[in-house]
Amino acid sequence: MEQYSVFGKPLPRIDAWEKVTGEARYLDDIFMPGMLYGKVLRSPHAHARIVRIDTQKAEALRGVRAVITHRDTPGVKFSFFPVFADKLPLCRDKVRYIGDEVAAVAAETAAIAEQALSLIEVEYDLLPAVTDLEEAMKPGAPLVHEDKEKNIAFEGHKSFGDIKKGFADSDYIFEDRYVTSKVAHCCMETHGCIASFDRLGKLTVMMPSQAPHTVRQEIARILDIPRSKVRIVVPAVGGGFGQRLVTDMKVPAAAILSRIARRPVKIVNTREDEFCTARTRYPYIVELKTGVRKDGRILARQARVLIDNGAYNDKGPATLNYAGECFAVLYNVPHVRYDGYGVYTNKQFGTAFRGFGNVQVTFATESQLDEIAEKLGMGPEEIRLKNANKPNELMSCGATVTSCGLVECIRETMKKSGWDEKRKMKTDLGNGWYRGIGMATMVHTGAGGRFYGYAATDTFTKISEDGCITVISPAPEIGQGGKMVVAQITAEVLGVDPSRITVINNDTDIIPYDLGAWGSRTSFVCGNAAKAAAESVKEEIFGAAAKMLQTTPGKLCARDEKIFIDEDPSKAVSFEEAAVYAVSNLGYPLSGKGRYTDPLAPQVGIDKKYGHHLPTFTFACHVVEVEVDSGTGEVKVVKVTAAQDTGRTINRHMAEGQIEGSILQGLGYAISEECVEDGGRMMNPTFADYKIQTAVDAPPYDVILIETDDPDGPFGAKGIGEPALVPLPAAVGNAVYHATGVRFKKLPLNQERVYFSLKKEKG
Amino acid sequence: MLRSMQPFNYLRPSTLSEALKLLGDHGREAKVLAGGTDLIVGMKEKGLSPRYVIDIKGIEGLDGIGYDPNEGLRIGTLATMSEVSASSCVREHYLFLAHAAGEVGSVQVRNRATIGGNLCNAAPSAETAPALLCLDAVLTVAGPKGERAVAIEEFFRGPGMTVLDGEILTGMLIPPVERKGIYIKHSPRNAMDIAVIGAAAAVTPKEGGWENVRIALGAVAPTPVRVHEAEELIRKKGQTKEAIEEAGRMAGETASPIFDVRASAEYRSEMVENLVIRALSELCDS
Repeated sequence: MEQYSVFGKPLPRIDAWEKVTGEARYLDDIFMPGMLYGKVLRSPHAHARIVRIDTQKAEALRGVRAVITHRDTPGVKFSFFPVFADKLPLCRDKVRYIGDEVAAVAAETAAIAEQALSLIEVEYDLLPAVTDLEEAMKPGAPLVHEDKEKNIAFEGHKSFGDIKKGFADSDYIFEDRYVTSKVAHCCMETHGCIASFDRLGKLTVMMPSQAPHTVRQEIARILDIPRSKVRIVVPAVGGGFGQRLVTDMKVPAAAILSRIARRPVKIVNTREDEFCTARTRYPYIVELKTGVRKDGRILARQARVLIDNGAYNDKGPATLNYAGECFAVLYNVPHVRYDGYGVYTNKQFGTAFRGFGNVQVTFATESQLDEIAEKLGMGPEEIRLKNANKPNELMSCGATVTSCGLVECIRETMKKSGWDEKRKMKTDLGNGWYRGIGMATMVHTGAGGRFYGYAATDTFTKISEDGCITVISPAPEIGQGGKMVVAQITAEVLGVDPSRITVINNDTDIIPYDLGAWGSRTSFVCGNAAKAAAESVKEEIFGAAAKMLQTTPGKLCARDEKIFIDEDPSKAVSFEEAAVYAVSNLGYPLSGKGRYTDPLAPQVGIDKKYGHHLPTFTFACHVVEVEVDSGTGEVKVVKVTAAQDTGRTINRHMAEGQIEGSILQGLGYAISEECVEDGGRMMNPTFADYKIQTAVDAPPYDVILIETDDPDGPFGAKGIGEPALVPLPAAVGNAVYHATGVRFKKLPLNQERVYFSLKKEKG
Repeated sequence: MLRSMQPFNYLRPSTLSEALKLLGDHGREAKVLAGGTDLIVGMKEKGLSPRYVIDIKGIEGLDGIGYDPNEGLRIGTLATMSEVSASSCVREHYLFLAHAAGEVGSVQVRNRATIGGNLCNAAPSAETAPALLCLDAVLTVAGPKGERAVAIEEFFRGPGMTVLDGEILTGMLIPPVERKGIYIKHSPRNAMDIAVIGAAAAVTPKEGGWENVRIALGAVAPTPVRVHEAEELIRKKGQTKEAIEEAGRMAGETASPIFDVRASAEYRSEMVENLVIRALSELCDS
């Protein structure tokens, strides 16, 4: 008999039916009695002083119920980290990017609200804008935040080992500069909210969110009200990818409008609003210096990282720090130095995005590693295997890698893709076409992080009198399968079909405190808590079953909807019978509580014990095959072979879905997507001009799941939501290099860039 | 940023004369609606606000595709892109026109969008225009004074502008001349995309060479255009590698592409050259 009857199986998701039938209600499907429509007036200028705002005409428009400006807000500056607070909910003296919030209205219809916006008069005094990261660093550059001395918003420095010695001991030193682009999350559902104050002063906000408790704290902070007066309810969510972690200012705006109008207020982004204001991935410049021995061993690695922060801080400091964590861990490098700077510019600001800084830095490290290998006369696979992390290894940064499948990931992708033969094949296909194959690896967290001094959560599970199971878990469902992860783990413990399980996960007044879905932490943290809760309720139902079977709970097993005596499976009761028996014959209902705690978390806050922030690491290797058309610059990705260290796969379908989705999003980042900006204005805020990859563009995938059985994960599982995007851009760049001999150090490898580069270098 | 459609009067005539009368009455305040894939988007997102929308889908006889050996291929203005791309008449005689129609937008858009609408919207990148230019399509235009025939080369006047003057495009006729052709759409992805460049070429293969050499381009000038000089060159010099390369260069030089967020003018010019060479070379090999 297989070890597990439910865990790991490619079962259909418990929320599949409601999604494919349209039964699931997303924010835009929800209407509340008396609901008003809100709109936000945004700055048309990249940088300007606000001289005067006159809202009288808008207020006088029939159907307008509230108009607000900074005067109606508590004026508390906000950022994800309070120490970096720099953003007012509505601008007071200055606007700092095209899209900055200036005023907001609520009206009976969206059309009236729209019209009211056009009646608000704002007089601006234009200021010189700085829209280039390196220009912004120069002395005398216009200050984005006039109360600061310079445009450098934050710095981060890490040093492990002895970098000078590392370079001194190296036989070769490589120095390169890599530039990554600004890309948008492109969630299927645009962002929005319905805010509603009741008469007792309690605020309920319905909104798509991946971190409802965090948002609750943030809104309380911005509105200067107690957290207990804020409740976040999350409807079905159409994608997250990091974009729904930090509070967007339309939420406090809707809340204030609701308090004034005494009605619920809905504000939803148009797609253009979304592209221009809903935040992006941070563009990075990475100056990378690496020292290696002749035999390919990496001895020293130094990066100077510049982040184009945009107008406000948001997640900038966190991505800078996190990218450094991964930089210090991929390959066991004895001497590491990392210096990062976040720089203000008068542009739309960034936020978290799948890969979280790591993908930008990995583009640099994994591109350069291929150049190093070539110089040393080694194969890309050879240098990676030589330096690959191994299980239970101590890194120079102090982190210990626990489970680790990096070597297996490299070997399996090589085998499955036919790497050895394809590397030797002729790359010139004639008629200006070239073919190539490249690889890249990555490390990422498989369990969130301990940055906030807290990484725990609870879960409550009950079995009803009819044998149905309800799990109250904080695992967010943003399309990634958070609910099913909880259901499948619970079902494995209790030996039932997941269809018996309902997961309640969307209301901060109900669910336990949790940090949300980021850093691939849901499966690990919420999964462990769900497992513990299921084990706790299992003790209760085993108590009932033991009485029915006249045995002791310790001799029982649960599997296939039955509870039976392990030594004699013919002695069995159904799960449902046992639940009914508990209520009817024993006289009590069944419930359990489970907790995941991470005792290290309170000891290793963001500024302490660097190297211990990530509870476990996950690894991957991608092999990408391309055909390059030098006549047009087209990079055609013909195959992706991706191996991912999953710890233990919870649900094969969902794991493959996460990896395939990451690959397609990563391909867009690598070859076609880019927020094109001119003077701080986004020039392509539509899906016609912002080129995401479509289903027709998807190359064939081979996904390989490497199981390494993590010692701390639920049934050995690790998170996999983010990592599969991380190696893609570097793997594409390495494949294009193999095909054409031309190295791209700037993303994206779009047709025009590839065409002119090939023309210049190959004639 | 205004996202709400302005109110308008929706009119659905059942005869052509009724439609022309309405168009005459309302003049510039009216817009003709066929598939709506350009008009409705324009009204929702691009500030287009006609007071009258005249839906011609209720008029009989404006759809359908048929081939007559003497007359040629007739395509009704309301034939959808899906119908054109799947039509056995089109595929048998002018396969590359079917391919061009199959390149428009998405499946959903192709099921709605009409070939007449594609031409009347007069986008420089109109997907079917280069192929129809290569086929010497003759457009049938109905007006208050009766029907007239307009050669497709005369039809476009600028971005969004045509020769139509209170008139309605009712269909087109492609003369029954044997052709083989090719349409190359160049865009950053394989579906749901706008052509950065569209290049079409067609010829009538004859013993010892080509006749009726046609080269036409989309998205490189204010209207879809034919490149007569390059056609003339191939006619004179034949389908040699040198002539083809020279024709490509000529096409690249005559094109006056725009610079926008999709591509630079320089890139577009080079693509014209490369894709014309590619199109002609493929016709040589096929």
